[in-house]
Amino acid sequence: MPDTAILQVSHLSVSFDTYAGKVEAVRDISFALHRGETLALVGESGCGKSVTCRSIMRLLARNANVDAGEILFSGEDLLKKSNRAMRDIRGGKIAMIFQDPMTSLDPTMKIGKQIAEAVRLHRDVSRREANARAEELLSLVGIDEPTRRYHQYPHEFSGGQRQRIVIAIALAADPEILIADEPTTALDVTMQAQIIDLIRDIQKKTGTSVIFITHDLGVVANVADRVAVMYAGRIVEIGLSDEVFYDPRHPYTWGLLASMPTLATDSETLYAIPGTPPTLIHPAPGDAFAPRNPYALEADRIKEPPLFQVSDTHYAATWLLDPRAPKVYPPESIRQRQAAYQKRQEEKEAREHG
Amino acid sequence: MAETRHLLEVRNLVHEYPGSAGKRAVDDISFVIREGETFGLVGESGCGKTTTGRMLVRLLDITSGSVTFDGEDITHLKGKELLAFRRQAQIIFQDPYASLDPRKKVRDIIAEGIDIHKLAKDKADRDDQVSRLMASVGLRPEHLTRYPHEFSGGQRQRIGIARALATRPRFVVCDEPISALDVSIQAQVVNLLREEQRKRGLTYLFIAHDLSMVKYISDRIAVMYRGRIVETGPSNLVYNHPLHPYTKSLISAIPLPDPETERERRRIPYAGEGLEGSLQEAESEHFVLMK
Ligand SMILES: Nc1ncnc2c1ncn2[C@@H]1O[C@H](COP(=O)(O)OP(=O)(O)OP(=O)(O)O)[C@@H](O)[C@H]1O
Ligand SMILES: Nc1ncnc2c1ncn2[C@@H]1O[C@H](COP(=O)(O)OP(=O)(O)OP(=O)(O)O)[C@@H](O)[C@H]1O
Ligand SMILES: [Mg+2]
Ligand SMILES: [Mg+2]
Repeated sequence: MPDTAILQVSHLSVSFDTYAGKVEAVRDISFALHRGETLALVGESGCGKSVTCRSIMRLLARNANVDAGEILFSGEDLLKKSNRAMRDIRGGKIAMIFQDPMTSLDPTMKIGKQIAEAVRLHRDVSRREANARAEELLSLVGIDEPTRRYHQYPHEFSGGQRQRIVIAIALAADPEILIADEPTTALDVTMQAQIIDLIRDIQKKTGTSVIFITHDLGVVANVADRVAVMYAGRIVEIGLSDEVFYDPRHPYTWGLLASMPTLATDSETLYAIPGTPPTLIHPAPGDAFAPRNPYALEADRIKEPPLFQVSDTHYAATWLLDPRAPKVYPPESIRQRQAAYQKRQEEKEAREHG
Repeated sequence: MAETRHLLEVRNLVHEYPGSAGKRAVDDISFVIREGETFGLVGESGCGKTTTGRMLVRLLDITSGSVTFDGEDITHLKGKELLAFRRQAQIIFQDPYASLDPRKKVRDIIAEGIDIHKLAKDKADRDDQVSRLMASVGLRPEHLTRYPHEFSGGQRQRIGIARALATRPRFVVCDEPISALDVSIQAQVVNLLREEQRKRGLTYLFIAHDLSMVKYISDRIAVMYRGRIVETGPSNLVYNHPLHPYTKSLISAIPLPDPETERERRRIPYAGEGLEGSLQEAESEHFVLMK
């Protein structure tokens, strides 16, 4: 598997200078993105998902410092590239759909033109062909009457429509890597499904690798081959989608899965992980989740847990996985997931052998 | 809940954006919102939810139709009266970034309403109110002196929520207030909105596309499609017993945090049927668009 990596992020640390102090937003994270796969990045608001992706694009705010790390793309470190070289890569080989659609659209330019320009930037086509492709992309992302709407400005669109225009621009270049930062959050479920199908289609045709950031675990279950769970600037669990959803090992992942409202939820108050997100200025030692974690061991408060290996593809950073740790039972809803999954696996095996 | 007292009455509301060639973004919708309830508005992207919400708080002109608030017709309010109405009717904007002044520190953004409506006794009181609002939406004290661009998407969204609650309004339009948030903070914010509601009898128009959350937070729901309401009723009825084909399709597409289910999911397609006629009561309080 490792030799198929198209992108390898190693030991990346990013911080910001602010009045209140140094914000350690991303702390020593490593992961690979394989060719043609979709890797989902999940975790609570402020945990460093966008900063991680902006580091890959080299589009961090002015008060940012990359303190350490390496980001290899086709064998070359993106962090060492010149600004010029990065400009060519952005929107071409690596395209990003930003979380705030308005900030990536030019408010003074008709949206059709913005898409057509993105097409021409990376493809040698005539203006007419680019316009036609732009219209086609508009209808692919579900904008009705593309010929009329081509000539409108960003403020004349609804929130979800703007988000879809940004998606059209990112797809215009047929990128090798698509980084999609909450691309479907402003969309209703049917439109969401349409966009996900579209990204998947393009992925199948061109072998694009996708980093998909979302907090919607339902969407993750639908799109992801693998899932990385982040907390307070670190990756605390990473594995195949099935492993993370059905056999999660980090208590933070347990909490995340438990706070999804299910169709049956009717109770007065939703389960919310207790406490507030930790400060990233002088973060406490140990597992940053420990203060909110009812399962935390003494060790989790003192010493940063390494990523323990659960399977060839599954890792989690909690001392609970240390062989010396006492046996702990996850919450009921998680045990149900594990049991249901185990049963399904056994049935599958029985079917295959019987 | 105060028995069926109507805080808002919306009659034949229409909005047409200039240059939209006669197409109405909101096309003749009527509903009431009861005091103390949460009224959910759902529907596909571009169907007119934000346009509706902005008209209700008078940030957007009402092309035709009328809105009354607490018995008073607010359709054409101006000047001082409009200002007084705005204190009572706030909005949490959908696009958190575009709605926050990039040159202001967060402390001053949250205090905007407090300043405009002179709701603080002195500076200490203002700081105190702001700090409490910040904490209640899960932001940290060290965030007070930061600028909007120095926040993550979800943190910005929470700044917008704190700002809207700052004037102690009676009615809040929540335009997708939680869709940018992760589940755990979603739950926190939803619980917070509910608590405020319990404490102060707040009334919400809750706009969202996430039906499972809307169902959870709303007493009643209206489903919009292309500028019109196609179905409305108590959330449980609409959700568990959808009548309009569009609502059925919407519910069949809700993603679940379960890869196995997702692989086998069957969505009910919707092809634009059932858009003629008027809203008719199919069962108690449950209306559907029918010929
Ligand atoms: N320019 C900046 N200056 C200071 N702090 C920043 C800056 N940009 C981001 N941060 C902080 O870095 C942390 C990580 O931010 P990031 O945008 O990556 O979060 P995220 O995981 O994408 O969250 P969300 O789901 O809310 O978008 C946050 O705590 C944020 O406040
Ligand atoms: N300023 C404008 N000028 C012209 N048309 C507009 C303007 N603002 C919105 N529209 C159009 O009006 C319709 C309704 O938009 P609205 O913003 O109310 O949708 P919405 O239901 O909130 O969608 P979303 O879920 O994507 O936010 C859309 O077709 C949109 O393109
Ligand atoms: Mg983000
Ligand atoms: Mg909207």
